[in-house]
Amino acid sequence: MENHIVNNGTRALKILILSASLLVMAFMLAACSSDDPTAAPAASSTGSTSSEVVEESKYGGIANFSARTDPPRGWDPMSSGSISVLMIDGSLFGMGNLVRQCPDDGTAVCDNLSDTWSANADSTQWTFHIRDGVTWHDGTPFTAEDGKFFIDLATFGATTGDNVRRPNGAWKFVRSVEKTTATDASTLVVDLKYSVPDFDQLLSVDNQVLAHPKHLMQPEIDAGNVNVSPKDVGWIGTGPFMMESYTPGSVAKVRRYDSYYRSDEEGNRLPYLDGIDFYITPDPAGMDAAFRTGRLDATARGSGFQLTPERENAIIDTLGADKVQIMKMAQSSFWALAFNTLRDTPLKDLKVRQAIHLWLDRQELVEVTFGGFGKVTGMYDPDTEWAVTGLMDTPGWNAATKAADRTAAKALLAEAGYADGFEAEFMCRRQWGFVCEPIVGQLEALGISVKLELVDDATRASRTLDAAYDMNMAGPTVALPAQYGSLVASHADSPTADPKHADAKVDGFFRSLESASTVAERSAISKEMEQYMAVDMVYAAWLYTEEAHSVVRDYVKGVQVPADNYRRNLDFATVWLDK
Amino acid sequence: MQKYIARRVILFFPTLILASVLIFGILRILPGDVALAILGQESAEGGGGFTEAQIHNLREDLGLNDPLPVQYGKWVWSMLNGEFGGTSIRTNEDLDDIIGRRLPVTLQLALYTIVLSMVIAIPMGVFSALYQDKWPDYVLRITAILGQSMPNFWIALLLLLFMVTIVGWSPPLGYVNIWVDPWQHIQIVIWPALILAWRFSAYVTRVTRSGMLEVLAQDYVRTAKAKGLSQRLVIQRHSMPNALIPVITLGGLEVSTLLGGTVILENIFGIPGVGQGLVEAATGRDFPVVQSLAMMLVFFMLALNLLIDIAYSYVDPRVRYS
Repeated sequence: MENHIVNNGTRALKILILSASLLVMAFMLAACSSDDPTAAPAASSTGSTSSEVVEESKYGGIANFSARTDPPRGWDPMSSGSISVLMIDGSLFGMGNLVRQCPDDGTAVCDNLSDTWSANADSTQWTFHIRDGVTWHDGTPFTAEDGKFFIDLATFGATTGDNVRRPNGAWKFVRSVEKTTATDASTLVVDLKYSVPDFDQLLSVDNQVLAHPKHLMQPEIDAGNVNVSPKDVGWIGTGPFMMESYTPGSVAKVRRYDSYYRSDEEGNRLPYLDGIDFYITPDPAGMDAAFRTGRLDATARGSGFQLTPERENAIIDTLGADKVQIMKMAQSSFWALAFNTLRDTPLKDLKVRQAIHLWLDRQELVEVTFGGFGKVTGMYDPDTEWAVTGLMDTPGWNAATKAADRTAAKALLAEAGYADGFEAEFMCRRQWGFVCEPIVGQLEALGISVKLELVDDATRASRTLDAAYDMNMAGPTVALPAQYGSLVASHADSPTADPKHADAKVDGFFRSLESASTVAERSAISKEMEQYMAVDMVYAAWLYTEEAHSVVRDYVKGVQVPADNYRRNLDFATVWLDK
Repeated sequence: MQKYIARRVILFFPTLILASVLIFGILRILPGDVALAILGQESAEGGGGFTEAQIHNLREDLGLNDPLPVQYGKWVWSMLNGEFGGTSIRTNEDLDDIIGRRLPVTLQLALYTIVLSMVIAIPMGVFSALYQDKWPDYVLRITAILGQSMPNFWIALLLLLFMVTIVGWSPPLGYVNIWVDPWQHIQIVIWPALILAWRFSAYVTRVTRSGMLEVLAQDYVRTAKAKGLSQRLVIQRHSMPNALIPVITLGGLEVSTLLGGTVILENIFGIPGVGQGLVEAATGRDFPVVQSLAMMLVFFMLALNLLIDIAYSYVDPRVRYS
């Protein structure tokens, strides 16, 4: 009987092995499936005219890009400036609005849905001429009424009965708008409450995307749906691509809009691609795997998805350096160790703050924190016109003088009466622990006994409002000097600012910025502000900005890499596939 | 029996209410104000500053200015009337749409896992018992222990790495339902299902093995063998039904671990189920989604346990509830 059982057991083992083999074969078949993700897409016949013969080879193909998550907040750029929104929105709605930041120079203003614009003598009234021939994806002409609707919605919100849509609190241009008037289909007049000489620049910020067709949204608002979003009205935009299908959590497929208004420098109609499939890849490891096996042509932008040195090397090892293009883009988040000077602590003493500024080895911090993918900065990218010229060669930032700086730092600390160091609380957002810990290490070496407090966002926000910390890690994203307003002004003027002080002179810089009439004037003010904030008063020790690395395959051409800010140039109108 | 079932069904509801109070309460006693958390996160991630008015407005929008019992009542009512908690803060999507879209995906994945586990684990457990303390038994037990001890996310990452570096292949992107494109669906779902099944079947294998060993030593099995019954009949008809009774209980309890495992694996493999939704919602401070999805999972767990308890009394005639 025992043998009988064992013999039957052997038969069961054979069946088991056979089943397992079949399962393995099924998986191998899956692995060798015919859906070759790298297969070249069929050439498109759309978009080519006789005058475009030379460029015809650029047309066609579907690119496969990654997006880190489904766009939040109804895909509405008015509700969220996150890269998660812009990554796909850019292709549907274009970047910017009536005007936009120039693709190759974020500080310059370029035409967009408006082809010309002008201000009156005192910059209190701006007139925009709407470009001819622009249509929404449903064929409806884009008019000045649409421009008015967009600015009004951002500035004043909307109210229907008890339902209230609140004005946009983050966009700087809305603060000055008094009223808008569409004098005819092609002319929009914007009256301001006061003179704003750089209104066009404030309006041009790329993430202020016009994704709001009046003819579709106004009826919704009138019906009480005041928070109507682009998603609610079918993603009808004026961008180079129109929505074909969207499967939440999976893929958004956008396809060429044949009536897109922009052309390339040779006059060829854009976009070149037939379409883009944006795959939602919520895990960076999954995204990297898909890129390395050819299922993706480009990786996603955004925190957590940008490449680390290890991941970048792994991709290059798999595909070869000549098969990929690494896109290096500034984050425009300027990390700073912000000090609270309102509390009665040693940090109230300027000498102590100067000592910390001199002591911190920023180059080492970039290496330790970001694996070298970063750049030492002050309040701005040192290569922009907003930054003090040569600031990076001065004590504190200059690696060559670090030994002398550190000696000076020790001396300053002793002069302030803290030769034996002191204790300080360092509040740090929990997610930023990897940024704060190396700083703690350096501060401890200076003799400061740091109590690192990793806190959640609610606690951090609450303690920021109450000025309840000694030091706070700040990582503000800033494209224009005016955007620093709520981030570094005095506590009375802006309770959410990270450096805590009661210095009216700082608030004065922002008032001056608002009334400055030229870029040169604003540049001079921003330089003066940087010198004052970061060097003279050291309200914060500005450290560095992270460099965002993302990768595209070698055959993806025409990507306009936004060196200054990774949230820009996301319309992909000029992208084409050379394969 | 009917009385027992009725009592279990009646007990189901207080348990559900208690769970809802806990879920609701935990989200409220977490440190910090939800409105501050949302605005603070946006501010920290580049959204600029915010004002007291914005805090007040957001609290108003989220209903956080209402007393807690009112907030709880509104939430429970919306769960009952089919709105499932209203609207997502993060996506503005109605929660009934989110749950309707995500829940079937997760349940599908769980079903694949359970079927795969049972198909693999029960024969393995039986086989292991038949070959007790021989090399096939050791191999199967080691395999089971590995399945129990290695974290799912780690296996998933190793598997991805293996596929990319050795096979040069990765699962397709873009989840599709099985009725839309069965082949693509299988290529995407099979990997997390296999990983989850490994862990799940590890438990089932070990319990089946223990059960079989115990049953094979029983007098009635010896009697069955002595009667001259074939081994297949002895195992299938006399041993397995009794040996597998604990598997039902254990399987039910392990489903909770299984659903927990989907949270990470759905994210890694890009499967838009409840797990991925929970991760997105939790990182985005989308508390209506978190509490409603958590409540749905609790509901399914309780319902499953109820069914198991009821099924147990049918499967094991010795069990009598009074």
